[in-house]
Amino acid sequence: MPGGVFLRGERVTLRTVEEADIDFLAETVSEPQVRRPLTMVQPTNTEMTREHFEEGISDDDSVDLAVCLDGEIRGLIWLFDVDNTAGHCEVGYWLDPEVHGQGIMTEAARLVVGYAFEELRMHRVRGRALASNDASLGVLRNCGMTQEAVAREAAHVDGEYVDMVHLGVLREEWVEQFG
Amino acid sequence: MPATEPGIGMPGGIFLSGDRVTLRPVEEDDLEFLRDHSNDPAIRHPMTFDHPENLESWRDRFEDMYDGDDLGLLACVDDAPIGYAMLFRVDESAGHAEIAYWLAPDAQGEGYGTEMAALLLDYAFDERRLHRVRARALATNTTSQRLLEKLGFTHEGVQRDEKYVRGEYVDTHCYGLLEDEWAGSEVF
Repeated sequence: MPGGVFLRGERVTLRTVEEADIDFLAETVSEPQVRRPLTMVQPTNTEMTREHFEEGISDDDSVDLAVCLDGEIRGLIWLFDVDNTAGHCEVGYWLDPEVHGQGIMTEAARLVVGYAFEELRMHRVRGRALASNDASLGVLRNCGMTQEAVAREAAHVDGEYVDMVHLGVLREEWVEQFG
Repeated sequence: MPATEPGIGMPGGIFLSGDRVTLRPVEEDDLEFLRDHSNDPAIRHPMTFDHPENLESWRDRFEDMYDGDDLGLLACVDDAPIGYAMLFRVDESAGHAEIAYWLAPDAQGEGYGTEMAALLLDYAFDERRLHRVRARALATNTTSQRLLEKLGFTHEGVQRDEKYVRGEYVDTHCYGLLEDEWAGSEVF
């Protein structure tokens, strides 16, 4: 295992992101199937990924973890916009399309959301997904999140405006379901 | 009508102009006004500014204030500053941004907020070619919610317990306005 294991699930391991992962990250986020739901409209090369690794992934502001299956990195999950005063943060993630549809991200997201409540003392965790992205909406709902708002036409994907769905889960709701 | 405060010079050039309110680029002389009001509990609680900001931090912000996509403009009535209007989180590829604003306590209740926001919306849609503008208001800030509804914003949802204000979690109300829903500031 090229990084330190940080959270351990049944099938999924979340470990630290390391320099050796940069090529995988750069290649995978460039794929339309991955970048479109994330509304990433600019190409991402290895150099930009390295910068993001050094300045974003490796800083204290966000929590970034490699999603691993059988010891191999297959995706990324992160907590960002951490607001310690209000006690909330947001979860974001992507997964290699080859392993979509197996419940892997649900397992990873539950690990990270649980971590946010249990270790970071968050009161609330948020998530966002395109209205057209049933898989991602499913992941967020599987973390106990409730739909809170629909920002109409807030994203532009494949030539069309798409609604952005905002979801959130409060600590007591998490504890009730998963605690 | 607010009097010009001593020590505050003539504000900068007019960027957007309404019937009574003008929105102007912030000049260095305006920073004291911004410092005084943005630290005032009457303003910072509804805005959820939870850290003190001294003149030095306002100066830092002032130095590169207009370098990016975001915009902060000083609202004036008769050359005297009355508030601050912001366009931020501009996303050019999705075509959206957020607006926010505050008014000095002695300038509230005169309809200046509506005029400020309307000028900024004209700018967002007609000059910046944005497709959508969003705004948020605390559940406790009914004045701001009414203002947004009056401007034609749609209430799009409630983020539960999104903010923590004076010892309590408070819901945030989310609003959105699309370009073809904007009536234009002349209507207000």
